[in-house]
Amino acid sequence: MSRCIRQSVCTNFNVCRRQCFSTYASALKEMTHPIKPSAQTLRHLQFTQRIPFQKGLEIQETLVRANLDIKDIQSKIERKLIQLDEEYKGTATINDNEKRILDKVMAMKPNPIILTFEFEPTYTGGKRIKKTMTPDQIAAYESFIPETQKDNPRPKFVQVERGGQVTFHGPGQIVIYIILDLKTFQSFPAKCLVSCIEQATIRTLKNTKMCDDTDKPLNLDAMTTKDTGVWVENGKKKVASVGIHVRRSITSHGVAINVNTDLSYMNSFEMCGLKNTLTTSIMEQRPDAVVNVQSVAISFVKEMTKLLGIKTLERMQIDDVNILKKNP
Amino acid sequence: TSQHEWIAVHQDKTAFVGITKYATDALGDATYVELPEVGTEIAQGESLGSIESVKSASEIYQPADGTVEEINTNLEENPGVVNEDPMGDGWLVKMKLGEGVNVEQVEGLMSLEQYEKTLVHDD
Repeated sequence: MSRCIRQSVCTNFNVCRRQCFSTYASALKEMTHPIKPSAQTLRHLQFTQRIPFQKGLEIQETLVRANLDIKDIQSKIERKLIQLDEEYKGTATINDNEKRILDKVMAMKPNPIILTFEFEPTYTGGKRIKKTMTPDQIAAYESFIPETQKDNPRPKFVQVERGGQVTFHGPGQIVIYIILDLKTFQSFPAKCLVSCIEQATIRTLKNTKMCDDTDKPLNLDAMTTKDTGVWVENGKKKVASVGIHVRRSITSHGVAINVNTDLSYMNSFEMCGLKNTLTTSIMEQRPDAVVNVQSVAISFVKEMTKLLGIKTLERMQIDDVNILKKNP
Repeated sequence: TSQHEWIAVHQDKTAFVGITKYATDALGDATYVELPEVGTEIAQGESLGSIESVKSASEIYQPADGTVEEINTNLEENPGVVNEDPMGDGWLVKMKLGEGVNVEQVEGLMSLEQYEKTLVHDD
């Protein structure tokens, strides 16, 4: 079963004119805003059951493909209309029925979507190491089973189409994929989306409640460094990894935040191309917190909604991943 | 093109392909460039490869039908050249254009003037 929860995030914050801002300009709430009607509502698909990583990739790819296909159709229509206008020197007309059909097609653009997942143990490789990864290295990843994780499936190694190097996804970690058309937002190239994701993560670590029955926030101080990801302890430990993929301005992938992850999955290998990097988690930093991946997912999406300047957030909780096949 | 690839065509129908300064600025500093094998035939609109920055990877698309004759091997060691000189030393591939390809008529290609007009609308 799935439940639909509509939640309006009202904001009177001023529009930020700068394309990106530093981590110190914390008073600024928006980094961009929608310039197309389709981008005025953000849809959060919240997957509440742990699923295989490959399944999450398939869901993401299906949605990205839908975005690309619609974009292709719409650009063909636009070029054809321009061509007609030139050939007939502005005297071309289309009948009312044709115009109605074209208007409907042009209005089909999907809303921005954020997917949030918790995955079974998986190591993923980025584009850069695709050519250099050896079978022995893959075997080392796939045979690593921490003492406390014997009840979980063995890790799998999967190659993915995103920036960054080897990373881990698994129990206790929230993985957040952001699918949107950069061109439906004001002054919003790829590196600004990355900054937006970093800022949303930093705010999530500060603002998420310690546990459900208190208003006390985690108040974790996080930052970005010259290395990728989001860091705590003044840049010494990594709490979240960031990497996105862009095709024809349609984005995918995003961020993985360690909530109560078994850190030995990550600290037993050289992760993200950085030697001696130590990974940490929210629970390692705040042992007295009672935080789960789903509350962090909800917190992140709220922060992202504000930073994108979006006023309407719609959340759908999905506890049966197969439901998507019944309702394409 | 509206996806910010450029193409420079010589009389013998060979052409160099790269990405524009706008694209390199939007992407951030390049850390890795993935290009096709020499001899690959690529149709217009198909993926030519990708450019990876520290935190993102973006696909690059083929501006016109052709076959890859040469790739810029300097980018393996020095991907930053794409940011430093995107319209010159930062070229990506050298192509042999398809027999019937006339760049004046290829859909989606623009002159420099037309391209700069689209940048105004990108903001």
